[in-house]
Amino acid sequence: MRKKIIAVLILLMVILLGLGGRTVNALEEEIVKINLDTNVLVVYSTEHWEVDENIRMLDLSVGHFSNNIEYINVHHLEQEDLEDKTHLFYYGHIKEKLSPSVAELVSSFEGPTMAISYNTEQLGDKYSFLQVGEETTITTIDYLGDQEKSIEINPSIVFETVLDEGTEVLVEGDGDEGKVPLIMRKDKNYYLSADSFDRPYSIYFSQVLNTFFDVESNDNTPAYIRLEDVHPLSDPKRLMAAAEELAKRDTPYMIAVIPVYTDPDSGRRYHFEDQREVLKVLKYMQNNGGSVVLHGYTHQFRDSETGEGFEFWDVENQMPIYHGPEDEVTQLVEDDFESPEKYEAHQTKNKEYERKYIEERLTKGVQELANYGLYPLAFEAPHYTMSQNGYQVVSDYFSTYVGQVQLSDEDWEIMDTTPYATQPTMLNGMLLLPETIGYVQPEAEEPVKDMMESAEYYQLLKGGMIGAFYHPYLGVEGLREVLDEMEKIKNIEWIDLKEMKNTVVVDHVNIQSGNGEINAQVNNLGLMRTSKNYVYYHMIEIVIIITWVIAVLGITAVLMFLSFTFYLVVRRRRLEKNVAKPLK
Amino acid sequence: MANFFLYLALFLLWFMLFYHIFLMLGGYLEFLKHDEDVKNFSESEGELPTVSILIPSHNEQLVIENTLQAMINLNYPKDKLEIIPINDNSSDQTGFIVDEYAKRYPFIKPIHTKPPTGGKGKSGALNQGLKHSTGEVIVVYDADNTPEPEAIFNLVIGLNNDKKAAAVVGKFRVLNAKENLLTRFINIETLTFQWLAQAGRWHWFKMTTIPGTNFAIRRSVIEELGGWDEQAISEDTELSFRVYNAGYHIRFFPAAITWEQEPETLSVWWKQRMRWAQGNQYVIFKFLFQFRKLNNKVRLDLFYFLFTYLFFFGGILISHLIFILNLIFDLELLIGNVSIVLLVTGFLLFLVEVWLALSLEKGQLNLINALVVVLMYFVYSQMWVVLVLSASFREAKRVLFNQEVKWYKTERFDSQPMKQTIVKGKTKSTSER
Repeated sequence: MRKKIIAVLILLMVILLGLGGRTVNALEEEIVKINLDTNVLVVYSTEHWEVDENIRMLDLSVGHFSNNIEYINVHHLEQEDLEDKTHLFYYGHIKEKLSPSVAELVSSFEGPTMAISYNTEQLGDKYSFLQVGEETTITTIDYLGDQEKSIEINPSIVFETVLDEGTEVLVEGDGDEGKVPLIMRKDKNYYLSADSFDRPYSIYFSQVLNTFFDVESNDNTPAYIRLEDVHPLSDPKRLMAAAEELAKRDTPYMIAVIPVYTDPDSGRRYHFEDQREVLKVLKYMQNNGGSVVLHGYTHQFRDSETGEGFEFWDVENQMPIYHGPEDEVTQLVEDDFESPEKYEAHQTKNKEYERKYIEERLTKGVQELANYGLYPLAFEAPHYTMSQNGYQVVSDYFSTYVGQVQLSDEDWEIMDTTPYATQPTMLNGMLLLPETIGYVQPEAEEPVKDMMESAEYYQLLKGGMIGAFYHPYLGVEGLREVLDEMEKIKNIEWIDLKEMKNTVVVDHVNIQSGNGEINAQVNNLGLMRTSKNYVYYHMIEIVIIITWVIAVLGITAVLMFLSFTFYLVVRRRRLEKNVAKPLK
Repeated sequence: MANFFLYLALFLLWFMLFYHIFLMLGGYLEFLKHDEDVKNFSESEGELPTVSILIPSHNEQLVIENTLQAMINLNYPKDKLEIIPINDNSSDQTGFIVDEYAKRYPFIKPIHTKPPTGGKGKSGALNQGLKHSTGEVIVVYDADNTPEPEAIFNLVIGLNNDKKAAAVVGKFRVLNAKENLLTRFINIETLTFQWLAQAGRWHWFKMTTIPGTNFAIRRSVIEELGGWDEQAISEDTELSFRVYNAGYHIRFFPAAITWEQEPETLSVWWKQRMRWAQGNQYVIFKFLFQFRKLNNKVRLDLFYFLFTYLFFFGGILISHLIFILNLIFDLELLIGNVSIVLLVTGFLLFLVEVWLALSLEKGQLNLINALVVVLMYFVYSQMWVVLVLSASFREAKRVLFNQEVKWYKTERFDSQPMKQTIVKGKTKSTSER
């Protein structure tokens, strides 16, 4: 009997613990729909037979549903690649001749299959339900499940399709030549008749992926606002105004913090320890709804200005940081080398250099902020620019990435966002909280209106992320306007990074968050040994406290002596009166 | 770097200011119980000892008569009193005047010294006087002093009621306080010095610095110590150190009052204070080099002097310098708002401490003096900064080039009309002014 009771108790405890564990990840579960049992294979046709920016766009979309995605070029596809896979994608970005075995393999796959763009006629029986025709232009998109989700778009090219009976059209385009199916399916086999994941396709594509992965999407619209480019020379008053505005609205937010400001003229570097007012505001922010996001270490390279310059991309040479700021840059391509091995060795060396460069800056950035008591919970690369190798490095230190992502290692401007929070393969396990609707551009006529138009797109998607940022130096009025508008978004749910499980680990600093708390383990001794600047900050901190103690004691003494004087004067007067009386 | 120096200066200054707060508090507490002490001591005066009053006089014809008159008026058994004016190598009428008085009053026993034994300065004169004196208690007055009739009695009961006290120091007041702004400053300064530094130190540590006048010391002690140091130009401070290093108290007993003249012109003030500052610096270094032989109380007091002359003034100089530099260059000081709070608090502290000291003397805390205190902070205190700087420079030069110590005697001013004189007229005709 007793044993049974114990067994029941243990069972209860296990259940309670299980529940407890689940609530920790509540927010993540709402914003990403990752099913650990989902194994995705993406087969692709690209020009260079490699994963390129187009495939990475798909990666961003699929990463919302799975963090277990494999990529393989269609020419390398074999039976074993499909083993254990639950979902299959084929992305024919280029028209090419596929091996007949591809059709066999695709046909043999039993899970849901999604084909995109070209070469569907070579995929076998599964795609015999459609015939892809000529290109055509559409100007409207309709989501057939919901009439309200129709929008007008800039003229875009899609493929005409002829469909078998029994084919369901999920999304439809409308153009001069009439209606054309955009996303369609027969049974578990889906097709997207466009060759792009840009907005607005990405929105409809992601919406359909919910059905594809059989996931219930949320009614809530997750959103965030990020105060951008906060550095030591930021105006503390404007910063405070923004912080108070957000606190008043009880809106959690992010602060993209750059630990070092570099003056482009003098080359002088300013740290927060020299700008205590700003630091004070940042601490206030962290305690009142703000979460710090590390936004690079200096947000610049060579002698460019902080906030303007690129830190993890050499924009002058359009390449990753494979060299010091003073080094002469020679860009070598594969043909410059005697053998592919030598080229490979050269690339490895470059990537090692880049890794060290990024590691050093991330470590310094986190350490420096942690030393002040500011705990970054996520990373955002300056101007969102970083190579694929760079993202791998960041993922060793951060579990969350904020912003947009650079999709190409050749051109930083090939960069995009995605409508859902996602954990794509390219970010090596990091959770991406995409920025989707931009920021207040001072030069634009109606910047907030532009942002809200974007926001409307993302609201077409159930649970689509509305990510925005704002430069606090523009003043609090602009921020108010943005917040007023964003608050009108239906079912908006502000993302609080502290509610999410984030992990940031560098030497001597380990930051974890969850349930609204930050748990930072800082090895102070280790930090103090790392740099004397860290010691200096604390010394000054103590000195400042002492000066205030001195001031309080000094004022106390002033009051004390004043009261003594007053007492003596009164006492003397009374004495004189008493002496005078008997004389009368 | 600028920040480092600013904080260094700030901490030095405030360390000193807190010590002053502590002392002022002691002075105030001492004041509160002083009346009680006087009452108790008067009731148990004990057997009155024989007293020898030494008055070193070097060219004092302008003031010596007033002083001698005050001595005659002393309320102390004349059979137990001898007054020894030491006419130390005067070239004026001083010798004549004291001899005239000696003829009429048998307890006035002047001595006249000439080189090689005389003319060596105050310490030398005092040692000569000591040699010729017989009293069990030695009292010293400067030649410009007019003690109140009860002064000697009060000094003596101080000694009689305090066996551990080797010496008793009375209070001095300024005769010419209302003469001009400078004498007003000095008057306020002396009152503050006595209530804050003297009474405060006495209250907490049983230490008072012998001020060179209006003090009594037991003959046994001064002989044990071997008299005055003739190398020292501030022989009083020097003697104080030796007294409390020998384990004795020096009692502050403000019931014993003397009135003295203070410099009325800036140049006289400058020379007098220069002598004090240099003299004190001499003392600091003399005892600093034998630091190990000193007892803890002396070390503390030495440290205080050292602090006053080196660190406190160092702190003031650094903060002045930083203030000026910061007007010209951006030193990027971190200190921020607290600096203004500290600046204002420091100023207020100065005001209330001085006001409190003034309120301890009847009639001194009036509107004029209260306002003069404000002005004092900006004028008189800054004069001191320049003076100490200059004195340090001179002392350094003296040590480096091994120069002789020169004794500057404070110039006297023709005082208010004398009530009683026996050698009228002659003094004025040879006025030094």
